[in-house]
Amino acid sequence: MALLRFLIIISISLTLAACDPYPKDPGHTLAQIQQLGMMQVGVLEAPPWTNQENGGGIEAEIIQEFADSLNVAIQWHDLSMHKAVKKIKEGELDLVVGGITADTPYAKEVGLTRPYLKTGDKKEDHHVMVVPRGENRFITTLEKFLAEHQNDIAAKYRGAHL
Amino acid sequence: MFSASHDEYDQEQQSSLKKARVLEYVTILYQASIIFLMFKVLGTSQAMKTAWIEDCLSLIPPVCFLVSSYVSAKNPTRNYPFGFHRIGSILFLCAALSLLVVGGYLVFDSGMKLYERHHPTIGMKEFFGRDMWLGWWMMIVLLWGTFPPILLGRLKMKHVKPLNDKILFTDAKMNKADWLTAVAAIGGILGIGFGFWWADAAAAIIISVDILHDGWRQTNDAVTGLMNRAPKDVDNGYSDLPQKVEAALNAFEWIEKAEVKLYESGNLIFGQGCAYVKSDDAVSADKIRMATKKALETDWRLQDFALTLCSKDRKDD
Repeated sequence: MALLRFLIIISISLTLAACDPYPKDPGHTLAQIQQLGMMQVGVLEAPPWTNQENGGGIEAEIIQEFADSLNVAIQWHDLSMHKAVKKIKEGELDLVVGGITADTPYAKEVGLTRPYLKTGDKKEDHHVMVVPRGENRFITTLEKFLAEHQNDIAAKYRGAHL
Repeated sequence: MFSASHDEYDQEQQSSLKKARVLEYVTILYQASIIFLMFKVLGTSQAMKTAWIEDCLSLIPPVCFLVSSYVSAKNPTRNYPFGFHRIGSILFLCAALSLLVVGGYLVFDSGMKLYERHHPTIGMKEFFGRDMWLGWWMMIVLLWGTFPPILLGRLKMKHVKPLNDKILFTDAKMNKADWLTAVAAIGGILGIGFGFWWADAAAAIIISVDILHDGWRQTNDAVTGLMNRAPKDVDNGYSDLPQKVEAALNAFEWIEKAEVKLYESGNLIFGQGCAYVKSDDAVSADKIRMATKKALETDWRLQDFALTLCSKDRKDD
């Protein structure tokens, strides 16, 4: 019976999925970062989230901690949103930060993390980061890290707005 | 407004109708829950979007069945002398057209996603305090939407024959076949997880071709049904009812030959017969009444039948 065959295929796939890192990156983003020991991060000018002048900011600090957790270094690229979107689509950047919110007009062109910090109910208060589309291993790794550190992030945010 | 009842149905059919109505109400409620849950986990997957639209479309047949089951029960009026049985066929045509149009659009949309090399982004999602990959949640919802409809489809199928209802038949068949959609969608999501970005669009194309196919077949069926073609049974073969009625009429000693034309009106059958008589002297009003009664007794679906006398001259034309 077709239905039975379907159940068997699903169970085999699930077993396979459980063995390996799952979901995977179609473009091997995370594997490449780890292999090169280097993450390419685009930074917009958006204090207090990021600061192109002194390299500081809430998001810059968070991403530095994320890179530390992966044991890799970061190469920072200062640029505009427009350029950043172009570069992430071309695969030259792994991540873009800089006060980006869920209402970004580029949402249809790039991948976004889920909101890691909500300072209000509106979409413009939902803070996200820009990632390459469909690189789901990298995205889930980043999202898990952000979820585990959400109290820390909230504290940083309060600190910056005192 | 709907005070009239389906007096063409016997006891068993009345109970079938009641059960079928309950099943359709259950289907609508259940389908609504699936549509809500699917919407919660849609993400940016094209396969999920397509499966979700199919779930929305599958609300149409139950609604058509329920509306027509109430409206067609109304007795004929002076302005609607043939009754209201066709409402179902007309609603069915609208539903079939919507499948055809939406199916066509989705095939195009999914094809474009493949052409544009759309990489679906699926991240983490938390429900009920449990944080995991959204793809897993999608598969859970798809499974929830798979098995109960199969059961509902099987239960509905039992009432198709007694009621001779094509909408109910289509609905039951779609419910039973719906798991194919879930399989395709789950395959697509699993594929995304394995790093095959194209699995998503491929699954979406499979689902949308299935919708388009259903739409094409049903539109075909609905249009030809409304053209007064000869009646078909629910399993879609031409009914042998015209031959049966002709045989019943030919059995009368005063009828030399009978020709019968029948058509569908909703789930019922209407039509007319032409009797060529051996000699005009052999005909009486009573004999015609008897023959008409006999014809109507051939099958419960035959609810309106007019018998006229035809002259031999016309037969020779």
